[in-house]
Amino acid sequence: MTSVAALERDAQLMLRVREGDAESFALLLERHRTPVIHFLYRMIQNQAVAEELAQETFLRVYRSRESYEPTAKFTTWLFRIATHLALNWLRDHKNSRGEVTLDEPSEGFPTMQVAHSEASVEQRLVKESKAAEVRRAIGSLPQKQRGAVLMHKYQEMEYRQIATALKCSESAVKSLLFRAYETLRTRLAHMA
Amino acid sequence: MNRMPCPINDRKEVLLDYVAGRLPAEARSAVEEHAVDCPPCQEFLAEQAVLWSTLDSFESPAVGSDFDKKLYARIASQEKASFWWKAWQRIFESGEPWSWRPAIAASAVFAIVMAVVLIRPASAPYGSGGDAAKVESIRSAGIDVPDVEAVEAALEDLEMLKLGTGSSI
Repeated sequence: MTSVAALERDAQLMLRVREGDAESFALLLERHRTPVIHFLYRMIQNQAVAEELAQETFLRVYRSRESYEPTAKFTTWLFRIATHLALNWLRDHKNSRGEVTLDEPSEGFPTMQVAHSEASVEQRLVKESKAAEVRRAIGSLPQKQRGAVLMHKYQEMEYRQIATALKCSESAVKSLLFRAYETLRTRLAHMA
Repeated sequence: MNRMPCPINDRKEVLLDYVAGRLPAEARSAVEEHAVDCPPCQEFLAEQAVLWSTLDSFESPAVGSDFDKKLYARIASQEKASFWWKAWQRIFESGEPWSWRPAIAASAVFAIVMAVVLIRPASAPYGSGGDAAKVESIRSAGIDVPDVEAVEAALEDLEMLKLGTGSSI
């Protein structure tokens, strides 16, 4: 979980960006680039689109630097923007792309991984198959449930932060998570 | 010692937080003590723990090596944006009261609608020709029509930026 010091440092860095400090923006980018892209990838399941949306996220952060005020955690604000862009993209491409299907591997995911370990071919295939099934299960969740799970599980965000990002109440977030995890438990129970 | 009431129905988030490792030590102990005599909670915790571990297999690809380069190129490109686009942005991103901005955006949209209604060709029934053609005809008459999509995008930005820019709305 992000420490209090780290959270305060994010706010301080952003305040410096507000004053025109480009190096502080670079530090924020360095710290948050990967988590944002990974979140967007898990939402969209397309690496190219995820990076495009991540760039748009940071572009909007930079564009609004002059009026930034640390009224909330920087990561909350950051993921609110990212979530907004992801949900818009999914809505705009729902008809042309459809939801993630069972037979389509997500685009951009490395299907052939470089063997750094001595894992056998069979073990690697089992691992990839498991990962693909998890991707499909998460991809089949309704968009807001998906966003809530991704922020809760992979970004370790608090309920209050997730509520802000999804523009709903904390109780609504908990409800989203309960339903999403129940669906995932049922769907992935055979992988236990 | 007060025993924790069963959270399975009304406070399931406690069980989620336990599996996620986000409970303080005292609360963790309370959950463990409760679960000893509560089969539903035991079952939930066991299944959620398995799911939690399973979800770890959803990995993400490495970030492209040119990500930062592309981002900074976009930033540089934006910095060279036209005077009017920057002026438009300043209206929405300045420290002015938030109540002005919806009014300004609404006025812009109203002006577009009125221009379309008043200037549309007499021979063309309303609704024919498409919005793009109407806007084009207005522009060709020398009237500057703000981009409606830009207005909508700015309103969306307004909504998102409220949190990071100190608005109490």
